[in-house]
Amino acid sequence: MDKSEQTQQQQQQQQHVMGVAAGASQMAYSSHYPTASMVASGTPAVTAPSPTQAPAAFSSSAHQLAYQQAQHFHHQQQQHQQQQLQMFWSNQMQEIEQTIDFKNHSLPLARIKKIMKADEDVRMISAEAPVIFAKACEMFILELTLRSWIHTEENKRRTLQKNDIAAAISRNDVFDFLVDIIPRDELKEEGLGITKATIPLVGSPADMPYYYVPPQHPVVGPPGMIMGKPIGAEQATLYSTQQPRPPVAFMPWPHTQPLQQQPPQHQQTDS
Amino acid sequence: MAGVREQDQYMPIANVIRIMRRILPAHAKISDDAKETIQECVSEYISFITAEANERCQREQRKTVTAEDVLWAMEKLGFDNYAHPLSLYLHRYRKTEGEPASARRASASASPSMQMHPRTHPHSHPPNYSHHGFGMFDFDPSSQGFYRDDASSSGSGGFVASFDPYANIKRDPL
Repeated sequence: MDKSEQTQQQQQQQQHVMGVAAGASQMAYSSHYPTASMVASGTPAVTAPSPTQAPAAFSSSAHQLAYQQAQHFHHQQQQHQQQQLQMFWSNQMQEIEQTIDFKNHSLPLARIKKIMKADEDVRMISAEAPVIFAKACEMFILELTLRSWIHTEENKRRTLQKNDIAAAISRNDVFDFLVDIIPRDELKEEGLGITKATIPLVGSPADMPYYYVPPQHPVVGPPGMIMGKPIGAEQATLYSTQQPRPPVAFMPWPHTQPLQQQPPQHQQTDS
Repeated sequence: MAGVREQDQYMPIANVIRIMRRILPAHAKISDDAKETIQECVSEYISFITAEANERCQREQRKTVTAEDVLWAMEKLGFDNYAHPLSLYLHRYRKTEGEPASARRASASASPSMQMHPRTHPHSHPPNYSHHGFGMFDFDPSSQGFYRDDASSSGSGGFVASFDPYANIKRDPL
């Protein structure tokens, strides 16, 4: 028993060390990004709200003023979005704390098990796995709907549309596995929308369209490779008629604090 | 038959819409193609996580995909926000649900999960359970019925008294 406990502790320590290393690498990458963006966009404006957000060089003062207003609006918008997402995860934790009924699920367990079994490599599934998936899918639907609705509001509409979902997917690399569900023209439309709404693109990584490849490509190579394998398997199994597309790795967005979604860019802006 | 298979690939649209509406304002409308897109995204999410969980399962030469495998896969694939509250959910589920798996399979019906009507079951909550402190991995180690679930013990053997989502890792996952 003592040996097994020591082994578990060592493994847990290794896991923690790996977690710290991964977080450190992500942080290191994030800290490099503003420098690259500043270099790419040239001299920053004198009255820029934050030195870490490198503005583009404009020749006329009218354009400069318009840019500053757009930058300020975007900053406020980003803060509001982060608050909404923080509140979402905080509410999820509270909801789970207060859950007293574990028998009735938002989604049918039999259907979840059938979808899991669609993968022929899956042999047996424990009874608890669909239960966990029922809650996970509920959270997934809520998060994706919230992120999509943020885009709906940005466009001053009241109807959540497919392109809003495409925008939410393209703005977060964690949803890369969903790119094949959204047609390519939706992604293009989303790209154009971002270009019009926010100036410059490089100033806000959170709103990066899907097709943007960050300059620090080698850093994000391994995560892309890791994520590519299961996507390929899924495509081969579920979407044999579709042409598989290789995953494009871009800047990973760290989610180190589940209750406080503080992206490094946001923190740098505050400081 | 093709229609049945098509429907079985996705979650029921009514359930999906009900969940979406919980986070949207009252005046929000949802287009039909958005509803279908979310349906497809959910199935893709299940397949994506399941494939990763199953890979770990096979790597460790096990045949049954467990809840721990699912949580591990979520964390590995970037869904840390999900893995942490779900660990708490799994822990509380095991505390309150001691029925055999057949009963749970029978209760696989579509209905909201936030019913406030308490139900009688063999393992009642301790008196001070409602004052449970806020914490991601906060649990009561003195709980007697922690691993009384037979399905749980058969699905994931070798568990110790305290819940550790990484306890099943026997080698370097990389």
